[in-house]
This record gives sequence, structure tokens and C-alpha cells, in this order.
Amino acid sequence: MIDQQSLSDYFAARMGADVRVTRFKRTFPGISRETFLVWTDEGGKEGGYVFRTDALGGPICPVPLEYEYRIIKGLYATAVPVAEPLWFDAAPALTEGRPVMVRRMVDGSNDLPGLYDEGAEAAARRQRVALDHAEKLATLHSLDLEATGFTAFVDMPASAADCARFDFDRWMGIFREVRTDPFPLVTEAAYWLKEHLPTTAPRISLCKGNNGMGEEIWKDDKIVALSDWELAFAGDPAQDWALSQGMLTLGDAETTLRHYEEVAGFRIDRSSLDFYRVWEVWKAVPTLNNGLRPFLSGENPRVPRLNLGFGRVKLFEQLLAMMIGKPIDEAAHIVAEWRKSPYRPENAAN
Amino acid sequence: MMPTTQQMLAAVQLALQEHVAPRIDDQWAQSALRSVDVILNHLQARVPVEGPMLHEDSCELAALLASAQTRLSHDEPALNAFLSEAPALLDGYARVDALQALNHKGREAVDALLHHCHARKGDTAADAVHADLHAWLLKHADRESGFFFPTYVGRPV
Repeated sequence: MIDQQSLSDYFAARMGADVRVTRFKRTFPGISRETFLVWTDEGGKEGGYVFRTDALGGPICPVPLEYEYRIIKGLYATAVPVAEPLWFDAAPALTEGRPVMVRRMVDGSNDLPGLYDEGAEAAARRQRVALDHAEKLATLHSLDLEATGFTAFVDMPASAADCARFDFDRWMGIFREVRTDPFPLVTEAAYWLKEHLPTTAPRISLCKGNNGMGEEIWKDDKIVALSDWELAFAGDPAQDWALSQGMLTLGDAETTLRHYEEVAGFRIDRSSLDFYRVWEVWKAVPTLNNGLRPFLSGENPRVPRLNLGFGRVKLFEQLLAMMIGKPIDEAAHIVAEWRKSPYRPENAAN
Repeated sequence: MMPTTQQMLAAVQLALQEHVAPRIDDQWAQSALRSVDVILNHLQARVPVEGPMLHEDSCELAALLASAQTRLSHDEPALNAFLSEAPALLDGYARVDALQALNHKGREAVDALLHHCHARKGDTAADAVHADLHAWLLKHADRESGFFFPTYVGRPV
């Protein structure tokens, strides 16, 4: 457990002896990684920081924290809004060797109170929020990955046409490496999906991975920082829309997508979007199942790991069983119905 | 008469719901209690039927995999491991944990055979075995559906 004095000593060692932690708070839910909001006194001025470290036994998402840090660092120099990255520490004593990254706290919230209120005014507000998110995604997806340095450390598909195949191969490798069960039905679902991989994409974009409600920092209904980059990847921008947690149902989906397309200057293929909606269900199995490994080894024997890494994974397996062999648009419709739950499965790995 | 495991789990759940949940306003504590509630629901669905389910499922798998081995003339270590162990275990009374371990081995064999069948796609024998394996996969998912659905639907943490 991290205590205030140890945290204060750590910040003073990194930032200078006049820095003292006055209070800190762990954010909820944060099961994959632990995130703390930290407030400091710096010679009479208050500072605010976000301290993030792996959970005991490792994160749920099978991606190193340093990767997320490098993504944020690369983005900070661009027009994409992110919190200022301050440092990455590979194995500090404070966390008993778990990696740490620290960002400057952004003035805003991941919650938008009243967003789901009844009435025309609230509905218009929801559409505005969806359009703002679309603009931010368009900015991200339009980045030149070579010029911004991402090609140096982000796995790159050979071509835009190869995006889906590349992501499929990457995640099949992760699945084989991390699974705690044979999951033959998930293997069979992979063969089914492999037959339907999209073969076109408008471009290779840096995609955020999980994005939308619950993932970003908002102020006055605008995104001031895109947050949580652990699942960032290079691929088809349509895939990010499949992971846009509630943003396409916030307003009118076509209005939102058309606005995105106008800002981005390229089109999202709706059939690719359908495919990625189903593919993301498949990907949730290795992503969440990875979190069960420290539970089984005894490193992190806590109930959220059990529920996400086992129960939730088996639920996704049930969902795949419902879809396997169906036309992709029909399968995507099943996922869309499923996503109507206010507690969407993609939120599970926060 | 002894209370059943289901009744005892339900009593634990009721105690938490009636006396603990209303007194908790911390987000982490509420989340922990939700997780415990889900696990208790899962156990109430799973404990009474898991043994018979695994026995039935593994018996079917033993017949399916023995037939697949003959039809494919394929030497697969995971398949051999399952088929050498299954008859003795399934013949008499078996502990649930032993049935779980056997079923796990059987599903490893299914996984290996799926890859084999897909690699031989178009071959009549491989396609026929694949169709049988596919049908069994859906049946297996249906057999354990009640352990996870709707138990794990809803807020994940």
C-alpha cells in the first residue's frame, strides 16, 4: 500500500526538496492499473499530478506501462490533447518495483453530470459532446506517424489494406501467450472472423483503443485530455469507432460519423465498423483473461481479477457462441444490442 | 436435514445484502460487495450441477475425440493424453476437481484438432470432424451458459 509520507518522499526526490504531498486519492475503478491523484505543496503553490502504476501481479491489459507513457509523450507535442507527461520510472522502491508514470493533472473530469437527462436540451447537448469527441478522434487519426516518431516503437501494418490482418495476427499471438484455458470456442471464432477481415482502410492511423465515455477528461463539455492509452495501436480508424464507448449512441450515429469524416477528410467504411465491433468482443477475451494470471498464481488474489479475468471472459465466450458463423452485420447487431447496457463490457479493464 | 450448499450461499448473500450493503458508501467497498454478490450468484448456479455437467460433457467428448482420432489418423499429444485418462475417470465416481482437469485436457485436444482441421480444410474427413467439433463447442457453451449468463451481465466492477 502506498502511504502519504512515502509518496511525499518520492515526489521530493524527483522534483526537489520543497515539494511535499499534501493529500492523495486513488481513482475508481482502476483495476488493471492503479491511478492516484496527488496534490502537492510547492513552496506555497499547489501542484496536481496523476501517479499511475501497475496493479499487483501486473496489469490486466497485456501492454507495458512504458508503452502508454511513450504514446502520451509522443502526442504531447501534437495537436491531440493529452496531459503533460512528466516521467516514467521503471522500478521504484515506492511501488516495490512496479513501473510508474506521472503526468500533470488536467483541470476537468471524466464525468459529465446530467448528460443523460430527459428532454430536447439534454439530447442536443449529447450530440454536441459526440461531435467534439469526433473532432478529437479526427485530429488523432490524421497524424503523420512517421513525422511524429510513432513508427519507431508502435507496431505498424505493412499497408492500409493490411490493418485488419495485422491486428488479427498480433492478437492471436497474445491470445496464445496469455490464455489460462484452451478456449477452443474462441479459437473457432477466430477462424470465423479471419474469413471476414476487412481488406481496405482509409489510412494507417494511430488509434486510441478504448475511447469515449469514461476514458477522457472533459471540461465545459469539451475534451481537454484524451486519457488512458494502454491499448493504443496503429490501424484502421474504423476500429477506434468500434471502441468508442457510447459515443455513437450519444447522438445520431450518422451525424457524428459524417462530422468526423468532414474533419478527418476520409470515410469510415460501415462494413469495416461492423467487423471491428465483433472483433473487439473477441479481443476482450485475451485482454481480460490476462488479468486472471496473477490471480491464479496468488500474486493478486482479489475478486475483481476473478470476475473480470474469468466470469466476464466466459460471458464474452457465450456472446461469441451466439454470433459465430452468422453474417458479420447480423453479429454486429447482436453486439450493438449488448452494448445498450449502461455498464458496457469494454469498461471492464479500466 | 442438512441445508444445501445453495441454501448456505444464499444465506451469506442475504446477510450481506440486508446488513452490510446499506451501510456502505465507499466506492471501493461497494464495488467489492458487488463482486462478492456476483460470485455468490455464480456459485449457486454452478455448484449443484457442475459435477454431472462435466461428466456428461466429458463422456460425449471422449466418444467424439476417439472417433476423430480414428477418422483423421492424426497423432496429437493432447488427444492422447485425454483419451488415455478419460475411461477410468468417467467409469466411476469422480471428484469435481478431477472432472474439471479432465475436461480441460479434452478442450485442449479440441483446440489442437480445430487447428488441424482448419489446416486440412477441404479434406472430407477433416471437414466432417470439424463439423462435429463445432457442434460440440456450441453444446458445451450451452451447458455452462447458466453459470455465466445472466450472472456476469451488468456492472463489471
